Amino acid sequence: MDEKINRRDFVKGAGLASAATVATLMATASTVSAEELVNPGGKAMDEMGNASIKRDLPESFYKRIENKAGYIGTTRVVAPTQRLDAREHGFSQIVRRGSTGDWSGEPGDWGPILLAAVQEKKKHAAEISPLEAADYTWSNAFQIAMDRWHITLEPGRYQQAPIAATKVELSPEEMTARIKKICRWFGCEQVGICEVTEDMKPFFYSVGRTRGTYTTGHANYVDNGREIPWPYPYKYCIVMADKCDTDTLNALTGPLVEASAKIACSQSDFAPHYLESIIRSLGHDAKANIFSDTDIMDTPFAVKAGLGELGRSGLVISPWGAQMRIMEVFTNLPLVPDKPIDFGLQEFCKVCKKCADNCPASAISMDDEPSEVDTVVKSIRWFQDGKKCLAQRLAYGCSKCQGVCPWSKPDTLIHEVGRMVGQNPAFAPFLVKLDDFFYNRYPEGHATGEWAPWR
Amino acid sequence: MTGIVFLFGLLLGILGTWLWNTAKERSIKLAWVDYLLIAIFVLMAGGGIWFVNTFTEESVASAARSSGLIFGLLALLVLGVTWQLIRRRNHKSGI
Repeated sequence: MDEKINRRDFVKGAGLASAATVATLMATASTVSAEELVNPGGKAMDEMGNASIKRDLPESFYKRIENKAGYIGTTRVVAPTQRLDAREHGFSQIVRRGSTGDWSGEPGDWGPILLAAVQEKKKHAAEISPLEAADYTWSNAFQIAMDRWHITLEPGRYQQAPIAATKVELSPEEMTARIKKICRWFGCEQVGICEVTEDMKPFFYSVGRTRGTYTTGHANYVDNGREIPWPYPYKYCIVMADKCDTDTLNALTGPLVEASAKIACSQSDFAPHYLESIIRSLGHDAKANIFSDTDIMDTPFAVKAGLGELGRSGLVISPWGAQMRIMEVFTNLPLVPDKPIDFGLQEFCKVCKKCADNCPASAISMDDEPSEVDTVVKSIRWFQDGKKCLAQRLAYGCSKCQGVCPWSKPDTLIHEVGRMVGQNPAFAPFLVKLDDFFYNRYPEGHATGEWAPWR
Repeated sequence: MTGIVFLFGLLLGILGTWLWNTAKERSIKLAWVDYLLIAIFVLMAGGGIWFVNTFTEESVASAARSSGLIFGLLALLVLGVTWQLIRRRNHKSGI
């Protein structure tokens, strides 16, 4: 057999072989095995109903403090200022500016800040790899899924359950206990009751929004607002909190954080409406305070309900950390309000500064001591620039201040020891050093490739 | 975690029994300080496993490595000191 291969056959053969190799490689890259197709693995998020923390805070973690005039929990309120129009809030501004294309305003106003963020986002999208771009396509899908909830539940669209004619009457103590147990039963890990008193007035918007948060913009956007009355028609605010999924929020920035936050934000529409219907079916008035139909700034309510303290980052920090999703229901059900808690956070934040150090937008004060900050009230706290923060989140997605907070740790024995150590001001610097040693002062986020379910 | 604690206890039991029998067979005498050091070694080794397991579950590899290294080295150091103390004391007494 002395067959000669001529040049033409050689080239033809080589071409066919190359084509076959490329086709095989492409097929391998774009398909999954039959086994993976049937059972691709993956894990459930630690979101509602998937309890990641103990249901009751061990009493060794905190002390209950009395409500006193001039304080919301451990934060001193110097003076109230004007109630805010919710349409001026950043989330509302994103929707309005995006819908109308009106980016006008003085430097430092929402218009130019949000325009710069949108341009930054576009620039970033043009610079990243195709794989990262695909990640943003997925996270954008989660955003659209969230938006559908928020526009479907915009004011006036949700059909409330009628208030039952027959009232279930219980003592306030008994009713409080049952309501809290029910909230935990359907997935909220912390529940507290805040009484709506005069000192909470500045935290109610003067005018609420009438359009749901549709991030990509409403056609013909108009929001005429709705007046929020004072005195407020409900006596109590039931504040629920659920710990968000630590694994994915610990990506700290980028599309995985975006997707994770959107799921949490969607799910936080569920619990309030669910509880609202339950209370109304028991014969008492109730109103869910959801993202698209909110009457309040929720942080002070969570603090007053004893779920945590106001931290340096401007977030409610509970002994379980900063990754809490807060939800509320207003009601006239007879309840017993909770007292705020003090677990030494104010002293801890003075020495820690990890959130401020890690903030990519430099939006969190690095001052040692809190000072008088004028937001909706003049209060003694650390300044947190909400505009810088929102612009960063809009452009890149960010949960750094939540993720790096030394309190944002799982509910394990080692961290229980840490929590007890950290609440003592004398040991706070030691705990910060320990946290820096084990978790790094500037932690890297969890890799999207490893944790994103779409990869 | 429960499985790891069980395995650690099982290994500790086997190792402890073997060491106790060996010490009795060879008439090795232990002082109170040896028992204290052995207890510290067990605490260090147990603490190491506990920390490494916790950080591994949290997917914080650097913390798992650091804690493994610290507790492991301390445990080895305590073990070495204990070994030497027992060896020298029993050597002096001519055993």
